[in-house]
Amino acid sequence: MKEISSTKKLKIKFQVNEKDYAIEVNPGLSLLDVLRNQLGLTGTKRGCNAGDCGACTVIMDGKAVLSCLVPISRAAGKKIETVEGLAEGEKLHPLQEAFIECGAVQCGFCTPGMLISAKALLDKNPSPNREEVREALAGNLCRCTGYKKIVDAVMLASQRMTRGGQ
Amino acid sequence: MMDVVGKRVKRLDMGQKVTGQAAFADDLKFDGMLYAKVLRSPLPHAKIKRINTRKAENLAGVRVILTAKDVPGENKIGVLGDPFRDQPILADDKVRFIGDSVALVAADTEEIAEKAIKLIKVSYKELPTVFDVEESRKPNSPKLHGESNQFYHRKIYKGDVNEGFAKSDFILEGIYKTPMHEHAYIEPESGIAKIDGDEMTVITCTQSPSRAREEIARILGFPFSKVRVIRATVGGGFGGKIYNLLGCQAALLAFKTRKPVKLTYSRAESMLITTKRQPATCKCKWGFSNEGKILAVEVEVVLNAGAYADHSPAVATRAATQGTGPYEVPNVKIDSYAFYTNQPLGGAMRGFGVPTVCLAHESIMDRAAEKLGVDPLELRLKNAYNVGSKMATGQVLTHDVALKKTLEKARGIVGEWRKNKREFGPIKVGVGVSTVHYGIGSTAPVPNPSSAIVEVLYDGSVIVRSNCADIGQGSDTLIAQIVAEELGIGLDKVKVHTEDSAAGTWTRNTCASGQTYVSGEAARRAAASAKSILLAQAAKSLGVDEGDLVCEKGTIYSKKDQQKKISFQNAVIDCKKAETIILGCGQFKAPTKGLDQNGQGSPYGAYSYVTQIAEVEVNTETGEVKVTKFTSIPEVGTAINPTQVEGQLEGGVSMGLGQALMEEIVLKNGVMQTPTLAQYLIPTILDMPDDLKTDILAGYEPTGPFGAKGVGEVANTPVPSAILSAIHDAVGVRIDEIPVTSEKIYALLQKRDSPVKNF
Amino acid sequence: MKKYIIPENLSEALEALEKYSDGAKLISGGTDLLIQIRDGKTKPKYLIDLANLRELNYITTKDNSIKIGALATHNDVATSGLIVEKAPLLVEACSSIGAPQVRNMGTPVGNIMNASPAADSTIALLALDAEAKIVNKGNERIQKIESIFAGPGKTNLKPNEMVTELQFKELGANQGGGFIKLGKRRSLAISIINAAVVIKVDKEKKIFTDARIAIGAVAPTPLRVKGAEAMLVGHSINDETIENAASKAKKEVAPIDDIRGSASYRSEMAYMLVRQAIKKALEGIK
Repeated sequence: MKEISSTKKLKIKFQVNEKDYAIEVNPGLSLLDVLRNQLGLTGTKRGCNAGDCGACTVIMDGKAVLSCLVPISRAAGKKIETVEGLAEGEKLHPLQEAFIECGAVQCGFCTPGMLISAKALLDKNPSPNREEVREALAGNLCRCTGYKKIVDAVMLASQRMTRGGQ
Repeated sequence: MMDVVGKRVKRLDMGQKVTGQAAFADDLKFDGMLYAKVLRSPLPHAKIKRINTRKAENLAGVRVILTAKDVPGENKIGVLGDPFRDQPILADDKVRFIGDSVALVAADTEEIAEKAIKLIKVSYKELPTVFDVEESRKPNSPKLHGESNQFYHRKIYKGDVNEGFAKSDFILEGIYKTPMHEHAYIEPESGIAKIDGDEMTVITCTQSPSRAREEIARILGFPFSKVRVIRATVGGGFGGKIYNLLGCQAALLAFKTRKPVKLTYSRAESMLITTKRQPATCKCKWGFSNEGKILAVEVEVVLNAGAYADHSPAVATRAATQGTGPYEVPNVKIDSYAFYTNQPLGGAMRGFGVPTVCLAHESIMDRAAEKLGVDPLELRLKNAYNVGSKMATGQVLTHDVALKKTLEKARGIVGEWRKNKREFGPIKVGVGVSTVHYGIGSTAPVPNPSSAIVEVLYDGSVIVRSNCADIGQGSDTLIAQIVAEELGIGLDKVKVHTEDSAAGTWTRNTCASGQTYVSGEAARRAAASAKSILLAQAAKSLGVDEGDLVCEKGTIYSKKDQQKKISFQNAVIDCKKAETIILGCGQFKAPTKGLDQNGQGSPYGAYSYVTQIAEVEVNTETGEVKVTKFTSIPEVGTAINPTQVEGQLEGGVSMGLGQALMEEIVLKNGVMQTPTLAQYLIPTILDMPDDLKTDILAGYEPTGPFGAKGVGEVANTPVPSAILSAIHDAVGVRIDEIPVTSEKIYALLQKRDSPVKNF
Repeated sequence: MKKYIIPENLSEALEALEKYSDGAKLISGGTDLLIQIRDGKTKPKYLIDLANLRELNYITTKDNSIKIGALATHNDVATSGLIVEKAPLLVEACSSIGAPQVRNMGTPVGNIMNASPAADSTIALLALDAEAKIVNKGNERIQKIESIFAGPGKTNLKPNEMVTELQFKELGANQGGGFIKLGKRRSLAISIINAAVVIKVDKEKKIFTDARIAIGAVAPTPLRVKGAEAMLVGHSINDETIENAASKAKKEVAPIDDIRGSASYRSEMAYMLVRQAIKKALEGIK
């Protein structure tokens, strides 16, 4: 059993986008805080810090979660995926390509969370229908797009991915 | 047929946004950066007796604590300038709303700054408060500034309404209300200020870099030239990020500490202290003939402006100019007022007063149609603007008025939807229509002009310099398309820099649906100006008149003899050989004529139109409303990028749907009751219909770049009216106030003549 | 906050609870507690994180009794084949909570320990007449969840106790359940009011033989409207019986006005939702 004084640092190991990290953290921080401020992975956004907007969504051991509500200690030993891990070098993920093609991005602040929630869906359900896509994105707020082009993009990406390419 | 304009080109900034690389202000970090927090007033109206910062200053890691006395320049901001520049960045003698800024702290960490805030002791003497605007109007009401709480009155008087009413066969009256709205951009405000030598740089999510620079400079007592504003990627604005309090406060801290300082608002701060949509009431009286012609309209608009003036005079003005809706009315009397109260301040928000008057004019038209026994769409067609129509301001519409075309197109859709209604159990279905016109670009007292610089580099690629703030609507891409089209080159050659006030030149605020029209036209003129240098050179090389030459698809050729041609590239090389720099600048302001004391003039250079159709399901057992279909038929001149026009409409529908059904800031004696996004509700994906269509009608505005106008606010302003109209179609209840929650619908259904069961 | 405690198994967790009881809070999903801490509404000195208690992550059945461990998430429950088959109203309830991310983090046990009068999973579990296994160092007991709630946000659990499991009987052949939620929007919405019904019928006599009706957000705690239940039991299955029960439910609730709705609307909707939920439960039987 670990007992960590709030004034001391916690040693923690986890993986983000297939890269291993062994760091010391202030135990009172959230996963979001550590990703953004300590690891410099600012792609995941802080929209409300209260679990109300979905902009901080990451995938942790295969599940979409709100990183602003994940105590950092919980990340120990986990595999975390953020928006920075979607592209392979210059090659964009089909979801990213589709978002661009369908005009599914305006201000871009909700986009990382949307992409990650969409990926979590396609990882489990590679050929969703539009209603399933809408259900999967129901925890990600967008103020700019009205959501429709985002659904178009996820459908397009899933069609391409199941066809095995463009 | 154009090559780049009108095409669904991929937006230039999306690549950075989908990879998470696009840098929003809070993503940025600098060496030695300090973190700022603001001490805010817990009282809605109080004199400041004493501020004791000693204990806070002694906390380890605190670098500086500032109050009003520490402002070196003018401690005043206000977007419209004097006489409406009435907000201190740090309260001096008194605080005027809960959340008013009293002190600033800069410390080594956010945590230390938070602790320091708690250690500052302020003693206040409470003053009597006023929150309700009708109370604020009374002569013995507590006063926030000066002698009166009424700080603005716009009149628009045309003809003789008494005569008009006397001639009317029937009169309809109503009082329509819209609440305080929050922009609810997903990015809370953030900014970093740093001083380099004698230049203050502020990097922030701003919709108004040119103006922000001036405001920051005045606070510091710097010349404008020594303040640089860099627009970070903006995570949504909708009018809320024109407000520059954050930038000014961060700059002041950077000035005093000589270190970079970051200030990021929490969501609760953003909800409470940044500008909102003013709660507004529209009281109106409309006189009609039995043939359905509108003979007279009398309107009073009252804005609860909150503690400071900000944009309220301009909101009151626009509401007045559009108070009769897009309909011909010979006799008009509109009075539009703004009053101070001890509430959060109103500023600019998408729609700018029109959501309130539109709620009124569209509801009145529906009621008139019902009284006359005619189709509401037909009644609108009967009264809608044409070329030659005279507006309430006396402005005559001189060219292409597509309003009726949008209504006619809607007819078919409405008919089809009504025919295919499927009702079941307690669910009733209704179809409703609304229409609006929207003046493009700002009008006095908001400054309106824009400028740009276009430089053609010696390899034929092009840089455009402007300060047109792209806040997610895609103006950078539109500017690139416009410049590429003007020069006849590929889009891939154009680089647009709008983010840095050191590179760009004066540009209007991103507001009033006006960037494509004004800043886009400024960019086109700059490109045309650069082009003329190329054409002059080409004319020499080809031995023809400059006036004969056109620039298309990478080639410059003579209209009179197509064999006389030179490639764009070679013309550029010739310029280089001649030691000529291919540089152009341009500026544009919309052709307007200021309103006189009776509100007569030409406030806007162009108008966009939209007709929107909503289908709703109303659950008569619970009052729940579900919007199942929504189609918009906009006419916005040339659609420079149809995908972006659709994006604006679809996003506008979501904002309008939210405001119709769920959005409301609730205050109790100035205390915020809805500080989170779990309490101020905006639509989730499941609240939006998937059947969401935009049918763009072709149009052409001769004063706009390649015929373009604007779309941002025709997108959202009539949405609530279409939904309310559909609700009436479904269950026969009329609503005069938004948001209309399930509880409100349920209550109205109980009051109806026919009981729920028999419906 | 003084200490963060991360036990590796249940007995360590119970040790920690014993040691720090008064100043300690347990965190499982975190979706409620972390926000309360950030808002300053609760100021625990010790935070005991249950996330590593994998032994408590289960959904099983034995002797027709379903057991849900403390770490089973709303999503685990909503996608469990067992729950889909044997207690579908709980699937509906857990599916309507928050949004996908929230359902991946929050737990039915957590919602019970949080004692919100409106929690969707709690209302369904109340209609299922669920029991909680309440454990502290050296002792365990079973208590009906109905009697656990002491007020809004309060349980009567002792500071050194935690709920490790919920259990309830599978719905049988003559039983049906229904759950209805009324929210201000269609996702990420706390209920204005919600209702869950579990009924048992005698198909031959065409009467209700048992009924449990639970309503949320209409009282300081999640509420079983027993007067309404009595209007069903022993009566014929017809519209009039359902009307009577729904009307009685409306009289039994004691809602307040708040930001989501008024007391009078909630009372009206108590009637509507109970009526709808009973009908839904009946559909589940045929």
